[in-house]
Amino acid sequence: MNSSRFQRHNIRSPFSAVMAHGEPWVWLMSGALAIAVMMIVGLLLFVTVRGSLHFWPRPLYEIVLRNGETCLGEVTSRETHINNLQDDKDFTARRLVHIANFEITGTHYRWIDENDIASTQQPIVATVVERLEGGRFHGFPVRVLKNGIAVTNGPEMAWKKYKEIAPTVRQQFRDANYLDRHDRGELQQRLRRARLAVFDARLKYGSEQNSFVEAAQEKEKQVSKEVALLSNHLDSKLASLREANQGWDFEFKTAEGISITLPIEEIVQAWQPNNIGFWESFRIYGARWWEFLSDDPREANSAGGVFPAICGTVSMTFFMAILVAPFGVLAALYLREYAADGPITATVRIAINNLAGVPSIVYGAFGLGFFCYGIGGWIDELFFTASLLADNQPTYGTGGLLWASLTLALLTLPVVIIATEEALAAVPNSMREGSYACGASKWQTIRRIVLPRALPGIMTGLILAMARAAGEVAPLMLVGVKKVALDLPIDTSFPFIHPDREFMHLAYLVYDVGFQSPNSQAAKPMVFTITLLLVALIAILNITAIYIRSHLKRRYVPQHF
Amino acid sequence: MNQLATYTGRKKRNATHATILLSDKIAHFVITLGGLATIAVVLLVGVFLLVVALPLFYSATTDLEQSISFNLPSDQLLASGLDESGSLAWFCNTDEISVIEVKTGNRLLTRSTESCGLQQASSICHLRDTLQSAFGFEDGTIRTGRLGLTTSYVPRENIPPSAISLNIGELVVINNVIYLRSSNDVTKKIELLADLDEPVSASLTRPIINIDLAITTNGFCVAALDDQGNIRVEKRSFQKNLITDESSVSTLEATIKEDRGYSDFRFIRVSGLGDQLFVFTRAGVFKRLLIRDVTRPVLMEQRRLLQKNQTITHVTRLFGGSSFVLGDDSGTTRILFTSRDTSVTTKDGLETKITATFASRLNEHHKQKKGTEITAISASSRSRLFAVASADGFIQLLQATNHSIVAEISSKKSSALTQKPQVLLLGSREDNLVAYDGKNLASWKIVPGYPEVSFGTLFGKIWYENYPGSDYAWESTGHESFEPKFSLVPLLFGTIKATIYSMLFATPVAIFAAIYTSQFMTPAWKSKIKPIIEMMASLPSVVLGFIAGLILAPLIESGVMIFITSLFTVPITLLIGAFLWQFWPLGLRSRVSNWRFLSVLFVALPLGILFGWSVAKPTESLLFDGDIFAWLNGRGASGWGGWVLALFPLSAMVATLIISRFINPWIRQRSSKWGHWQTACIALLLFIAGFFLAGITSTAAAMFLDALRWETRSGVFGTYVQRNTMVVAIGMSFAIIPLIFTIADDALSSVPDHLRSGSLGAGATPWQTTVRIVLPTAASGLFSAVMIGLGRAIGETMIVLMAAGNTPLMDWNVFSGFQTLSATIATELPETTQGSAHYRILFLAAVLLFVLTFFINTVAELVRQRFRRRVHEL
Repeated sequence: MNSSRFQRHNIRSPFSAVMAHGEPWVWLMSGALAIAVMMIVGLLLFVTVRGSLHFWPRPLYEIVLRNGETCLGEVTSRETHINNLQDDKDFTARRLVHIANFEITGTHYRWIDENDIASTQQPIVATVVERLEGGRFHGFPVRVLKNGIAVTNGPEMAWKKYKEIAPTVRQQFRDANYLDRHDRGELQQRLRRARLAVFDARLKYGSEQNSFVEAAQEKEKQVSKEVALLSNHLDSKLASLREANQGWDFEFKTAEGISITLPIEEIVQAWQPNNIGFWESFRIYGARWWEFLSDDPREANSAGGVFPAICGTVSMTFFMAILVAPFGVLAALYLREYAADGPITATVRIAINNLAGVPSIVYGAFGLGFFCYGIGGWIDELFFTASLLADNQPTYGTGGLLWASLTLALLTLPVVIIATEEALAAVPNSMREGSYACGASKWQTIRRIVLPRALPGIMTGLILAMARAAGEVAPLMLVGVKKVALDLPIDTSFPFIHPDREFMHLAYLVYDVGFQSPNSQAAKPMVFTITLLLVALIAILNITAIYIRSHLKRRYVPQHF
Repeated sequence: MNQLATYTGRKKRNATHATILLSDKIAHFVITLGGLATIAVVLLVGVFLLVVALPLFYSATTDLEQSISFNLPSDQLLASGLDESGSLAWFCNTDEISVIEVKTGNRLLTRSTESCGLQQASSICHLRDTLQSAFGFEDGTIRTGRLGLTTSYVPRENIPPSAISLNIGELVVINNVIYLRSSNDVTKKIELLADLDEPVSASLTRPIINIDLAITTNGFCVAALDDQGNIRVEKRSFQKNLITDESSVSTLEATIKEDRGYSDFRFIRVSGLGDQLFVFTRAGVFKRLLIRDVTRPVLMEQRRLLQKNQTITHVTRLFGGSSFVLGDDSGTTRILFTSRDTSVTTKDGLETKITATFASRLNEHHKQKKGTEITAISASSRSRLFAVASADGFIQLLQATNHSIVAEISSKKSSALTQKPQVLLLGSREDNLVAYDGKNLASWKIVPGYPEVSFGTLFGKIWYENYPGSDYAWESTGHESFEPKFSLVPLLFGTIKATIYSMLFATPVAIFAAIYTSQFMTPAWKSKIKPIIEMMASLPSVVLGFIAGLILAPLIESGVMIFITSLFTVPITLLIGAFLWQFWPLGLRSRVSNWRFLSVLFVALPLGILFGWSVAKPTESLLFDGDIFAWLNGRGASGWGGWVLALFPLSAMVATLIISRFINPWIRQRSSKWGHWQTACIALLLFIAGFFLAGITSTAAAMFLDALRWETRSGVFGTYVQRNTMVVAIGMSFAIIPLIFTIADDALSSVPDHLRSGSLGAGATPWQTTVRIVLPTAASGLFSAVMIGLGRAIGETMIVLMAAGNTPLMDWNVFSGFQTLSATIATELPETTQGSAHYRILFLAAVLLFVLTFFINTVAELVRQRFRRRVHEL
């Protein structure tokens, strides 16, 4: 204490009273908090709005330019554009118009200067067509054709006719595709298995002719005969389905006046945005969401649905939870209930704590080296030699659902161990002692007293780990996530669960569609929708964690006496 | 047990049921084993990564396989080579071509040179990977063709009967074709190929003494030298018409007559791309001609490379195409290549430099120059590894890029060779080495390891081919004909840069926000705000990366000035708000203190941004001549604007210090009679004065530094790219802020209440309590929060991958991109082959990340535990 400071404190002045409250600093801190809140709220709002609006049908404008060009499209955004870098006053407003019709215009989007616009209108019959390939199509219906012969004429009639036949044609097309992909895929699998069996027999019993190899070859011949038969059958079935569809065409006229004929079976969805009311809009909105949630992706993932990705994410997360739960709980039980407290346990605890902070990509590298190449390569050599040598195609020696789940299980294991340990530590010792006093053994105490009481905490840790796994991408890029993998890891063909299959993942889709898409402008709204879905999924998991925590807490809350 | 049970005087009636005892035992066993195994597996991660990465540093091994006495009938050896696997060797001399099994020395095939038109050949250049060869003849003609052993795999059904029952490693010769059983299921067919293409070029008339060939993208380039120093260059390109599928050949050619009396040129070499021609005399003079346009060769350099008394004995082209190994008679090996340099005066701006010198061992130790000349050089066709033999029997494996001696073999000591080596053949898989000295044929099995990788290449500056000087470079996935460049330094730098800039933004925001929530908010408010921030933590990083890379990056690019000015105007607006707030009487203020946050969130913050938006244009024209991008590109005349921006925070701090240290006490003594209103006015005026003081100081300092010609544009500012460090910092702060916030808030909240109550009760304001009581107590907790944030920032992958542009640059520019360790692992590891150097280096990068984060987290954890103990004691 020096005297001057002492003296300063003795002066009673309104100025020191004001200064003592440090109001400027408090405001700066409050500002920091406000910035953080603004960031998160802004981000969530932005994602929600952009993601949920993507499927809402928006009006189509027919824009006639001063130079005589016309185009038909949705206005995506407006901005003021500075024409001259030297002169700030020289700017114009312009619109970004989604003009679609990529095969004619060579672009999906176009900037149109407000000054160049001669007139704008919303034609009633303007139609948006979502097709299988080539992006969207905007145009005016002309007529519906059957085998090149006009069935209806006039835009309204044509539209009516389309509405009438579209569901059946589309359904048949889907059936045919399913047959083609699923049933034919299974036949090919059978052929491959038979061929590999021959190869296997050769490997096992030597390349010379012997009874085993001959038997396998006989089997292969038989299988290929059967498959050929089935394949013919399939072909005829497909042909009949396709024939029913073939010939139904829809002729459109673009805004430029070019006539385009689209096969109806390739039209995923079509609507006339200027001709529908709110409920019809809502129906289309719902239908497009349903397509998004239940369908396979199209056009390099930038359109269509994300069902395989949802399936991949959910099954991977689920597998991971199954793997991580017992081991996490075992390790925590050991650390908290069995291990003697001492410097070693403390060190292990710190190490596990630190592993929770090791970057996920490091676990990814470990997963690739240890699981895929190490254990997977070993499994392949032992059990799948034929596939490896004959087709040069690893079964487990590459990324897959199992390895991805294991890697993420390892990644989340420290989190689960820490959470479980905390939950176990929160169980009051008095309860354990009471149980022992009643003569229960250690295991009985753990099973009947400690675990039920700690369950909410364990569940919370587990669900939070699942939420983390659902959003993690970096390690998955190394251990089994694929850009396109339409074969689901869990499906109806034997053995139903395919842990060796590569899979799609929602979070990876965000990266892939956003960054590797050839047409990133058109893919951006899709990324927002996927992001919204992903954030919603993670939010649901988090909320479930909170719910379970409070719900179980009520059930197992100890009676105080 | 039994004895204890008698305390009550009664015997224990029921024994514990056996199943309970058993299940207890089983549970104990399972939990102990499972728990220990789980913990072991988790801890295995780091060990495994290290195990994968370590072979990078293993040194090479060489093993003498056998040495057999063997001699060729003639000394006039023109060319030699190995087959693909290295088990067969062929030698071509003036009389015959013979194929020899290296293991036994058996002559498997012979073909006379007459039968393939090579009887007059005087010089042969043979490319080992394609077998393409160029032949020069005694009469001055040049031809191209193919020479060597081709290997193909025979399908099971085509194996001749006598080759079916071979054991592994055995071979049989049937009709001039060698069948070799190489493994259980594979039989190889090896044929000797020696055929010549048409046409014959006959523009030289003297014997060809040296010839070289380079395969270019659509043809090849041949250069020949006759014994009078005349040079003939021909470039032939094959073009395939895509429509008619016809191929056409076009030939461009030139003959350079030597007229200046340099008739002693001995070696001629073309660069791999076929655009440079080199001729060397034995005495060490070289000429470099540019032959991009073959019909008009231009002399670029002519210079002496060696000292007067040294003689070149061998010149060999290395992998990569434009560097050469020179061997001289003193046993020294030199690497030279041409590279671009600004200080060079040649017409094409390139200069040929000797970039590495390997002195011979004997040269160093015995100071003896005789008998150590280089007698043979053999370069690998897949990397910059090459083998050199000197006359004293030393064979060295050298790496041209990192200048390391990979392995050394003393062939005399192991008595593998007795004479001086004449022929040295490095297997095409770099796994064996064959040497011939005229009497013996010796072969070594070599395991080179990863000679291109060393501690020096990973962490030091390396002079790569065609680079003007040594540099750090990461270029792992280039064209296959160039060597990859593996320096981890740019990646480490990127990681550190990302971390520092992100922490610079996130730490103050997170810590300040945590202090505010824990100290100045009512519990009801806190319970609403805290989950909102924590929600941020559960956002997947890929979403943040997408938002940062695809949404924020273009947004910030279009309004970079607004963003920069907002960084200053938002705090200023907040401070003005605070000073205005002080005009309210104290009692009222404390009653409405809950509204402070709302007014900040909904009034001050938007106002600050609006303020920033409105001053953006004037600031841009004032500081950056009206266009910040042009200024950043170095076009604006004066650099003082950057200094003002960089120095303003510093001068603001200085101003604050001056005011609080010198002016405040002075006012305090005078203010005892002031009213509240007057005091608030003075405080506001003081703030405005401080603001101007800071502005003036920073402007003055900026002008001074600018007058000294110091620039910020080569430091923290520079050329703007869309995906840059600033964008990453903002994106990353979404991930770090909630992490630091949560831990910091926990630390601050766990400061015992009695300390706070005591302080408040003694009359301190909440602010004074916070600064003097709470913060000092919680300091270690705050520190560990920052450390944990740091650990997360170092390892963050997706945000960096999507928003940083992934260019391995090394500068501190806020507006440029970078590449981090984690992003590199994520993008490149799936594309590498298992076991390759690249694969292992990426694992080494993972080890680095692991060690870095593990270390930081350990420090954080230890500090946190200390903090907990301390708080517990209080």
